[in-house]
Amino acid sequence: MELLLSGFELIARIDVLIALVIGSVGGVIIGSIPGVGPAVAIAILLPATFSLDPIVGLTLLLGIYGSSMYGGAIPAILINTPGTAANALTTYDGYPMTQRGQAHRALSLAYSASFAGGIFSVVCLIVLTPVLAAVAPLFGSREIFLAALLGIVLVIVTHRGQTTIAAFLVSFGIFINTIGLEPIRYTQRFTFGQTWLTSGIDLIVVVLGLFAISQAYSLLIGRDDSPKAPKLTGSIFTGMGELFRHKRVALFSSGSGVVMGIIPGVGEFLAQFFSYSYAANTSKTPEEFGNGSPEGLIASEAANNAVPGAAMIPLLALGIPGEALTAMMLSVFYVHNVVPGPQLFESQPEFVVALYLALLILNVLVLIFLSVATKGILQVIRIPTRFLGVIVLTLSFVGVYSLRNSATDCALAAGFGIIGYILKRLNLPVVPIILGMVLGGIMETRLRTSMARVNSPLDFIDRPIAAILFGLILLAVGLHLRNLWRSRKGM
Amino acid sequence: MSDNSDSVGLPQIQRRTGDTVFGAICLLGSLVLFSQMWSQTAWVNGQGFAAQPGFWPRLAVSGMVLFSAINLAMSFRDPSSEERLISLGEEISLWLRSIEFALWFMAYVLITPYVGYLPASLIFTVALTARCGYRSPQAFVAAALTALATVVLFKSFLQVRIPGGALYESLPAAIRNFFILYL
Repeated sequence: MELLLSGFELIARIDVLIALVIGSVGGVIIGSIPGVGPAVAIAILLPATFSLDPIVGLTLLLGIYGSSMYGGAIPAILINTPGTAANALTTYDGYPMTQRGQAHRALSLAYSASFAGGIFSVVCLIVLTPVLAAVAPLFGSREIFLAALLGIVLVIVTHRGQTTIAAFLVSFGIFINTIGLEPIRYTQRFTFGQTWLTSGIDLIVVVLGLFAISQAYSLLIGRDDSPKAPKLTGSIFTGMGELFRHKRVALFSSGSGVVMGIIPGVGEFLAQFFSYSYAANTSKTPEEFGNGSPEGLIASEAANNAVPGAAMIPLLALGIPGEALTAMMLSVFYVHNVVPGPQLFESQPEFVVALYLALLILNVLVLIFLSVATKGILQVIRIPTRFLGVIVLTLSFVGVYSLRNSATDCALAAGFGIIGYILKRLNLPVVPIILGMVLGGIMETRLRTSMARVNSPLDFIDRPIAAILFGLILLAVGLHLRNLWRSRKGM
Repeated sequence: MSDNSDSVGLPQIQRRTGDTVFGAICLLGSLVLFSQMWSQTAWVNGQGFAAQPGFWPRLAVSGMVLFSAINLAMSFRDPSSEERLISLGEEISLWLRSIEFALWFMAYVLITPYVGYLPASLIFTVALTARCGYRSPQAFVAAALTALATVVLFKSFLQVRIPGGALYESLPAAIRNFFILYL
């Protein structure tokens, strides 16, 4: 209780509350614009948060992260275009409901399910805190190395049908992270004698290039479009009670969102598919799935909104980001010398609790905002695509240039933008590059530290958690190989 | 069950036009890095592999060569699933078109230290809006307001580090500091 109060004291400040409001409202608006999404917004805002207090900067980014999926459901339901990638399955049942004239019911269900998922994940975070605080110190260098390796393995094997290119992109990310002056012996690595490469390639430059600038190119080059959303009539919350009639689906989907969020490298996408499949397979009316099933809508929205809270668990407890957005947040921690990981729970537990409370409050704020502003948000959806590209490119400039006022950084970001654009065109993932950069750096440091303390390779996994993590890595690889074998045999 | 629900599960990823070309570029780039691996990284005698400065870059580049080679081989083996909605030439011309906007972005970067953040943003948004085909007065006003709002939000309020332009030095002393600090 004392810890809870200390955490509350940390966020009971006007600047934190303003950041929470701006983050939640901004996240909903950004999420509702197809083609922008939270990754672009967070990438652009990252450098601006460096000058803020860590708790202020993080609540702002958390606000955007946690609320964007609420907003992403709006275009998914109304114009059959998901606002964020995590709302893809919402179109399956949301849009058919809109076509039947039930747009307000679909929105209401989506908001309620998102709220249930968001609150469920925060409750799980709070309940798990004592467990995390007890378990996190058991993670030494070798366990953190193995957890990061598990994240790398999972991000590769979960890209089914694209595992080789995902493995290539992870390797590319690890490679980018090694460029520059090596920090222990100060030897040059792949600098080709260029002084501008000596300090390495900044993660934020790559993130902005791959997410924001590539998206701007995509919008500027693509077909110009100005989506028309249907008019909404009636109250947005008329169907809230319907959620309780499908509480089994809501609970399972929120739970699967939490589990998938905790596992590094998995995230919203798999959580959604897993929950949707479960809901479809256990429903009394499976024929409605894809034609406007409320259960399908609940499964998709509850699962994707449970992920952000859960994704904070590996980040805070181990310092290991599970996906691109938490990888970006990691850089905010580092800039402020707040190192997430086992020691954070020991030295600054109130900081961790404050972040949980911020997540809890933002879910309430978003619901209040949506209750009054949904009709207004429809105007945002109508921004023409190419003009949106102009806006994103203008904002990307602030993100990159304000880092070091370096034209070289900007040129690199523009180059990564081209790579990101080509990857998007080919339907290839960009997240493995970011995770390769972040997890590669963690693995290099942790392997060096831990190898100094082991005599034989077996010593590396002689502790229980290390052995479990090693077992999970073998399991993930084994299951992937089995699936490959079965698909080759046509089973 | 509808079509949608029948396909519940992970979506089938299909190779797209340009996949082989991209795979070949990846392999070529990886091989170039591989050929430079020994000269661009150090290997210290008497140290374990984990403490070697060259261990991680060499591992990463070797991984890039291996996986890009497998990916390229698979793209040859699996062309039947490719949705040839547009030709290869069209696809590559789209990739090249992104260079045009990269150059627009770099022009914005390069003029900012000279003309200042606000004027550069105004020029950039209005010119790019016109380039995108929006030529109405409303579009230009919207573009100018976007530039102004961005500058005010980030430089005036959030105080991000963007230095004042050289052009600001020629402004009257009374407003020079204001422009340098806030616009």
